[in-house]
Amino acid sequence: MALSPTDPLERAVVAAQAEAPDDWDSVSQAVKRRIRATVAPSRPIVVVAADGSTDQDAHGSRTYVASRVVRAALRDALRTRPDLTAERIDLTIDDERLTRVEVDLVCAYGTVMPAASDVARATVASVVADLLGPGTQPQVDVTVTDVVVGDPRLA
Amino acid sequence: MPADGLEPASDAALVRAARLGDDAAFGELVDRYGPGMLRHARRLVGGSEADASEVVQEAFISAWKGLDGFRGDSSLRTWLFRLVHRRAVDLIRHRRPTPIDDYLLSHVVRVADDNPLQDVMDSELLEALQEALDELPWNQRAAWLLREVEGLGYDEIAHAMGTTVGSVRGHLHRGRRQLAERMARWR
Repeated sequence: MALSPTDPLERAVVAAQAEAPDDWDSVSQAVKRRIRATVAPSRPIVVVAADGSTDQDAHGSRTYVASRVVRAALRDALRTRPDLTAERIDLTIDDERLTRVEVDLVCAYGTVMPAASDVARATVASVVADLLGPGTQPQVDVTVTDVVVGDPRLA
Repeated sequence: MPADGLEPASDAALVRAARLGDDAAFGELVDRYGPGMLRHARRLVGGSEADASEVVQEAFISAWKGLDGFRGDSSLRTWLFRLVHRRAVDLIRHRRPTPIDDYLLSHVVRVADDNPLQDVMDSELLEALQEALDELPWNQRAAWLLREVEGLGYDEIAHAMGTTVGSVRGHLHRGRRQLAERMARWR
């Protein structure tokens, strides 16, 4: 049976360890609000049609997607399988066009690396085509940087 | 995160996702370590809820912006305590001391329903502890709180405070002695 400490400092320590700040919820909400309000650096990427044109109409109108949006979509798309997840996603933008995507992957132990890289490349190509048009076909370089036991989305 | 809603994600997995801009993953880290950070900050800055809240918020904003700088040399928890320590130092340096409102201390502890007498005793004991802590030099107070209340190891405390293990031992030795003397009247 555990004995209660008799030393006042020890008792104070036990009481302090048991403290649960009753205003934590409001602090937590404030932190998350501020995090969401923190705008990550972003650049516009132009949408390119299958024929290579960036013109959306006869007036030469263009459509842009923020690189922040593209990166978030890639992140989410690369997190749908239990055998791989992204650790780093870098976009290279030249003259407003997405020309290169570099992805660092973390894979589950036992994953066949070339196959995982192919999956990642295909996923990136699909997301990029959806967001930036079929004419956007960047080079996609995949590096497996780590292997973990279990689902890399959790481990 | 978590992907299947069952198993909680590890710190490493959440940091990985947060580095890619996943604010929901970062939010899980906030709720995992924030309550302890808030408790620590409050004791460190003299019991003020407002100051502790500001310290913790600034620490998490620093963490969010500086996640790429977290190399895993320490545990994530130790790194976050280091940020709390830095932000608390900033606050103390740039702000005049403010009087401690007794009310703020009296309701810091969540009241349990089954033993109101113990709650009152704990509350008074904690108030006395805060008064004793406030009289300690800053480094002794910080080291004592990190060791005794948060349970960090000596090397973790040294990392959190940006000092050496030898200094931590010294701060703890002196802090323990002074606090024991201060709290002796509660025997």
